[in-house]
Amino acid sequence: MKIQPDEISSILRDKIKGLKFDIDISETGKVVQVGDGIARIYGMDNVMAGEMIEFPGGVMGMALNLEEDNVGCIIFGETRKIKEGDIAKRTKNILQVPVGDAMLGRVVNALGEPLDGKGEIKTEAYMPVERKALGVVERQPVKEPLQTGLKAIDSMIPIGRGQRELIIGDRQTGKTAIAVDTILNQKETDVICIYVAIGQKKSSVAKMVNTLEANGAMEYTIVVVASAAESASLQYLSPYSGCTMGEFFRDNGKHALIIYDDLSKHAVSYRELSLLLRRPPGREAYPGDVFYLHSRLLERASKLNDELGGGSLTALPIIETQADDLTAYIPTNVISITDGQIFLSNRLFHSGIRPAINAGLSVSRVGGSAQLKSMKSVTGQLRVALAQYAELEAFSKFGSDLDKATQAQLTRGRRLIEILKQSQYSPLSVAKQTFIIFMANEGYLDEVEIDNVLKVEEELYSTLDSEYKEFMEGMIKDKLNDETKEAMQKICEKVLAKF
Amino acid sequence: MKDILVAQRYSKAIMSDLKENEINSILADVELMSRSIQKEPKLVDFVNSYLYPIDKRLEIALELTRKLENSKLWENLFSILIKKHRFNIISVILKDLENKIFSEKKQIKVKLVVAHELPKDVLDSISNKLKEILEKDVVLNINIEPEILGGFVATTDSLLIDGSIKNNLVKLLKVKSKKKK
Ligand SMILES: Nc1ncnc2c1ncn2[C@@H]1O[C@H](COP(=O)(O)OP(=O)(O)OP(=O)(O)O)[C@@H](O)[C@H]1O
Ligand SMILES: [Mg+2]
Repeated sequence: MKIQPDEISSILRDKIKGLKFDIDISETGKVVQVGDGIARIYGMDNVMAGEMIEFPGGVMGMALNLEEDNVGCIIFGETRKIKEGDIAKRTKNILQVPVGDAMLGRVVNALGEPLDGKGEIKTEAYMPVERKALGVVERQPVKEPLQTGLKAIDSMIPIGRGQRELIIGDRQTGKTAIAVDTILNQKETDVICIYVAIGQKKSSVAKMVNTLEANGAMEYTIVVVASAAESASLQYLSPYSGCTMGEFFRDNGKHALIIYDDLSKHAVSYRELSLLLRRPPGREAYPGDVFYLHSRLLERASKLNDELGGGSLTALPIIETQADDLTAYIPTNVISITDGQIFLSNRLFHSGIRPAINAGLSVSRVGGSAQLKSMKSVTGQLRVALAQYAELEAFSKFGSDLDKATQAQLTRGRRLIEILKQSQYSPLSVAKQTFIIFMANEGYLDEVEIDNVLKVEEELYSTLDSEYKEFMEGMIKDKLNDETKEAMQKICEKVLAKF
Repeated sequence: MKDILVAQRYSKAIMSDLKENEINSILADVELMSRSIQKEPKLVDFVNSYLYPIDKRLEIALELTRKLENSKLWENLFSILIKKHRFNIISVILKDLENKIFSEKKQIKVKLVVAHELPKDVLDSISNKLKEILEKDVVLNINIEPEILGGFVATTDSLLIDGSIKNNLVKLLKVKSKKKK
């Protein structure tokens, strides 16, 4: 089809004729001070806390401090474009970010703008970044499991959909690795993942996105990035933006998982903003409302009741500690807000136990009720054996003669520690996890040398994959009964016969 | 920031002592002085500087007040400001005083920007429209800026009323690109 120039001009003419010119009235104020990502505005008497403010050149800001004689405001964008004496306009809107299915597979900044060069994000829906968490009646207790694919977590620290489970540990102890493995494990499920990177190096984020892409996990994932190069205001905003994107799925009856990596850096960026806004500093120079900063964010993770569609938003916040100190300000705060924590120990990591989960200090306060019955039938024994081992191990270092029973417990403990090790990017199905724990519990591995445990484990998985697909599917449906156990024992014997 | 608060204190004090019939003459003084200070910005620096002896500075400041109608009042104000080393905020005080007088007279000063010279009846209709929005008598200060293409932009201290063609076109662009999304 060809359009004549005449036609175009007539269309344009009609459009212009039909245009209704209107008058915009906006309240304004004058910028009296600007710098470090902060602006102070004189005037603007009726501005609301959290309202968006427009500066010349389209730069946006958000009013945080409403003082007697000025409005303190954080700036999302280039501070350099704003001068003293500029006119700032009220917008009467709370900051919104785009939400929807179109966000999946994208890497965006804290304002929801694409960073991955894949073009515009075509979405109609926008939602405010700061939303009030749901009330009591709108929720229900967690009841479906969220499988991380990691043996140590799914067995001993089970996580339910809608739960908030903290991942805490020193730097370089595999915190991000757990989060990434959890995302990878959602491939066959209906869980949508959101990864919020706060104050991280851009290179780490790029590496992570590559890993997700290589494993086909980007299709169901949104990555929100406020890297270390971004202003403190964007870093402060990013978890709330990510949470809003996740809530969209939850409110539509779907299941979403959000990872905040990490909230220590988030607290630091908020401290920076607060000090610049001259709010009084408290403990460790954090402002008085740093608890509320994280509690209002994590409260938004929830499991909806069935009338509201039964959707869920699970949160895995990450906190970095210094020298395994759980009693610092931010760690204790976040521990008290969450429904449990996965504690990663530096010592375990360096002694080769990876993931370096300290089972004694890790708990899941609500996930137990969501754990599969089949898994539950093997974990009780696992926990007890591990706890006994931890006690005896210290004891056995004295080198004194040990009786038979103690020695047996030590052998069992070592095998259990061995099977809980897991390499990165290799999440396991619940059935396989249950099976290997069952095998160790029943003592099949006691005779195997420590160095060979891994080989037996691999052999078991390949046997299960090739010969017992159907059996595995049936196995996890219910508690392990005697009949199933017998069949499992047979398989164990069969695998061991090869060694 | 602090300057504004301090200046407000001074202007409030002046206003509280003002009689009904003095208002117009004070306003005339304020306008005259603002204009002369704008023309000679160095003067403020000089009068507020510790580099020169205080009696010299006082003398010059008093010279300034001679031509004003309410010279006694200004004399007092200037000598207090100089002694307290606050003469640098004189223009802020004048500005605030002007605002206060206007609001006392139920008027408001509006800076009106138009694209080109407008005939009287158009200006009147704009002025009426503004009066309706602001609910006060408006005193227009007209500037011509062809960049706004047409229509008008009116600014007061706390409001921006934008009825320009430029703004409407910008908005149109925004709507278009949102729709494309
Ligand atoms: N299960 C594992 N098996 C082997 N190596 C692992 C495992 N988990 C993590 N690692 C390795 O340990 C290193 C640190 O992991 P990761 O980056 O996840 O730690 P982190 O605690 O997130 O670190 P940071 O404090 O820098 O964010 C990485 O090189 C990673 O490859
Ligand atoms: Mg990390």
